[in-house]
Amino acid sequence: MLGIEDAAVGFALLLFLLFIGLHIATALFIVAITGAYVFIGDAMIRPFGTMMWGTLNNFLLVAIPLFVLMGEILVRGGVTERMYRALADWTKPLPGGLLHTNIAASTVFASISGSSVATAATIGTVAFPTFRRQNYAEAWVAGSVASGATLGILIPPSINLIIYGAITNTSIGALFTAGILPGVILALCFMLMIAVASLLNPAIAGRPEPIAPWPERRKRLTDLVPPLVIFILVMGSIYLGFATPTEAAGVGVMAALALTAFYRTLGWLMLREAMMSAVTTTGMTLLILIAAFYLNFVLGVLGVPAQVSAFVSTFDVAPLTMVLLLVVLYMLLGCFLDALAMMIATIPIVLPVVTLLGYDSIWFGIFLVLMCELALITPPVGMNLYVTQSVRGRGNVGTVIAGVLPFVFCILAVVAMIAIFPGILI
Amino acid sequence: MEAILRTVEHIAAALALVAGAAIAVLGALITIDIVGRDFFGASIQGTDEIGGYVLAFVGSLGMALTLLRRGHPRIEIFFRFFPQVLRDCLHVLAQIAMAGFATFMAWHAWGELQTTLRFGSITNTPLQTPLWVPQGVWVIGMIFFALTACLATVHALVLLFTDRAAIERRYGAPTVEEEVSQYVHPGADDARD
Amino acid sequence: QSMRLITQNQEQRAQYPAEAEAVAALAEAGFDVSRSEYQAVGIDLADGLRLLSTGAFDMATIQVGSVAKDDPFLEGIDLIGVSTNMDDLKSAVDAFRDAFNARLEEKFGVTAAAIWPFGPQVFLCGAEMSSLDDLDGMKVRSFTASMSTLLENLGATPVTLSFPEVYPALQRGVATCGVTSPTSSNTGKWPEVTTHLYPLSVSGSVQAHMVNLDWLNGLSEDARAAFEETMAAMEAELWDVAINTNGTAQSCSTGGECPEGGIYTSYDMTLVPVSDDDKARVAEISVSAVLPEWAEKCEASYPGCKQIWNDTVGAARGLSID
Ligand code: NA
Ligand code: NA
Repeated sequence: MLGIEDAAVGFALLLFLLFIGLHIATALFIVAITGAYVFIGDAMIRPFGTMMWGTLNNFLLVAIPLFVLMGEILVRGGVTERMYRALADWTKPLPGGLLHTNIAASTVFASISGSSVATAATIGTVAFPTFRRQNYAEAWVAGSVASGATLGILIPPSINLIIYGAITNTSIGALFTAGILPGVILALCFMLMIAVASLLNPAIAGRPEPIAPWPERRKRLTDLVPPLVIFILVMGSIYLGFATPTEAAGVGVMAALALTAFYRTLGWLMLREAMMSAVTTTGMTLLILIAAFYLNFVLGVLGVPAQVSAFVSTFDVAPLTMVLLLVVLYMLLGCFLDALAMMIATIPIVLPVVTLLGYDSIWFGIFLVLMCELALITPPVGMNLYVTQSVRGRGNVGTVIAGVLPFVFCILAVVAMIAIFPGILI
Repeated sequence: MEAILRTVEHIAAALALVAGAAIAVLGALITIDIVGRDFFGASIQGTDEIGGYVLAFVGSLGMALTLLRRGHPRIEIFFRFFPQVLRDCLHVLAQIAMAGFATFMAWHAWGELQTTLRFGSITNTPLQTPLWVPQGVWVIGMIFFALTACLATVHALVLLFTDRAAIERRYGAPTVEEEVSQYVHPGADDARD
Repeated sequence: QSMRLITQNQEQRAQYPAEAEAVAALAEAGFDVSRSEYQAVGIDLADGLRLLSTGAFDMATIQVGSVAKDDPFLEGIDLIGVSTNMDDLKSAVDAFRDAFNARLEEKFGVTAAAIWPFGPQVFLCGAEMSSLDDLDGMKVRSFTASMSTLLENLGATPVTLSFPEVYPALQRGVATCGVTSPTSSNTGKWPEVTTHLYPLSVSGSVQAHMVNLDWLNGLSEDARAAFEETMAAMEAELWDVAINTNGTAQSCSTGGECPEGGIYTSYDMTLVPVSDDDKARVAEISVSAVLPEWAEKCEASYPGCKQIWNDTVGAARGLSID
């Protein structure tokens, strides 16, 4: 049997392998197979083929390529640009003006995409040219794009929640449903932050703009129909019982094809790119998952999760204190690890601890996704920061980092909210 | 070497396209199944099972193309503190480790297929699929991935001794610009408004 | 002697105490047992036999219906409609045990140390029902081929769902009914999302604690004797659980008497009385469709399979496949 020290050594090995730049999947695999070989031997390596087939042939994970394809078809069908303009009309009059559009558009976009990189890249691409003309404070523009994009993995569909559900045997439909409310609250919190900041310092919002006349605003509202239709169809069919989440994703693909065909943006080239992107995203995710499921298996057989929760329970701290410690731990990890890798590598060890504290696996799924959102916008490793900076195309990433700072507090506030009132997730 | 790599990438792209089409077809099957089940009381049995096979197919075929397009994530943030020669060596090391992992997977996938053939496994589901069929396709995908990873590793090693300047460009993590570029569509900003 | 055990018996399940007792007894006898659960380590129940066969684990609880993909013969121990009460099932299991183990040894290098059922597999529905006729047109969760055969013959639409999706699927109507034992459904909270319980049993959901033969043969004589004794005692206790606590669980689920502080929760499902017509109908579908389909599949991978079944289970239950 191995002790808590051995588990710590294993974790240190994982961090080392990641820091010397091995692929995330390879690093997870090396740690898993080393542990299997050192502590048990060849017997734990023999089931690898069976486990690999089990991971790849998993109906819950089929939702990943389907949702990615759905989102890609819609993005490439030009849904984002129309959506952005339609929302801009309505958010301009708020204190902070167009900054709210970034959040609102990210929220709507999140409801059709499960990835925050896609959200940041897509919204950023549309947003920056618009802002350049208006003299907004760059840090706030960049901060709202990078932070708003994190909603992509909290508001359903969410690739992270699908993976979480598959690893922990938690209903993905329930996770999706639980993600909506904190997602909307977080979006409102972002907007409140912008409004307060721009009332205190009007300079961040640039000069006010003329607002489009009523009929035009109303007419453009129809551009919000595609994302709305998709969201209602996907979440509605899950919620009303017509379909499981994976099936809903399949319906979403068909609906995306139909909508882009209706808007006459469906084309062979665009479809081809969308399919390639869905295939490579799936290949990338599944390679990590094969290693992650095997690591989970080895850790489980070695009894590491039980050891860790026994170790933690000796401290006898209040659940909220423990959650606070977890937040600090994840913030530290999130600075240096890729968000997905951080989530996958910690689930098997932390879930039993969280269960011990009296939270359920749905709660932990939402908590983890919020931690991933933080990881995405904290330097030095924070994908959204760099994606936003890249779309911005001038200055340096420091401006983006400064810009996301206020939004970090919003995420922490939502974490505090679900920690104190776990009941709101049902 | 370059020519072989280019050919492999063409094959990988073609296979990925087939896999992508399979995702779309699966979406259609699922939709037909749901409409049939919820409105006409008739179900295509086992779209979940077919979905699992499609995932194995898409996943294993997608790995090779993702590798060639440097899409498998790595954390390179600390590389800026390393001298160039160390960075190049670490890029090659990552390729070697990946090739080892890919070969290990292909070997075990092959073993799993052997077990299936030996047991004559047929899924005990309404579809009653002979398991060797989907697993056979999967094994082909895994072997293709392993071959691609090994080839890329040999190439990276050759570059280490012949053209070190090219290593980072070919085997480093993609720049953020490359990641983003796939979401930027000049002209998509609608033509018809 | 070390033993790696993989099991599906989680703490809240009715079968947990019996297994825990056996593990404790084995530890007492000098075995160093390390226990893992399928769900926690992410292994599909259907792959249990493969893992046991390669020696990854020394002992595993195997759901016979779900590993039948690797050998349809094994499912012959408990085919739909053959044994609809625990006494009948016991006679079928005892008749089949030697043939079952012979096949496991020859093909997988494995043997069953204990064979036991979860209990009667009954219908739980989220819609009004008074007999099997009402299943016509309903969506019912199915997990094996022979279950789908039965459901289709009843006019129902079989919906295949993975386990974690069953509860939400019942809740939201993706499936209207599910088939499982009263104990599993009560501890799995199914009564929260269903309204009618129809206690017509279609099978017993047979499970087995199987062991790798290399491991078993490596035991000293004393250790082996202790092991076999413990497993026999556990098997007897698990049959008791199946016979006795399913009644309690059913009573709890349907608003009847329910012991305080036990593992079962009180619910007020409607208990639908079972009609003799329906029993006859299941038996008829079993003979006309389920058994022939199974025999055909089985013969393809194990010639002589039908005869073996007729001589064992068939003889015990008064049935014969032509
Ligand atoms: Na989303
Ligand atoms: Na970070």
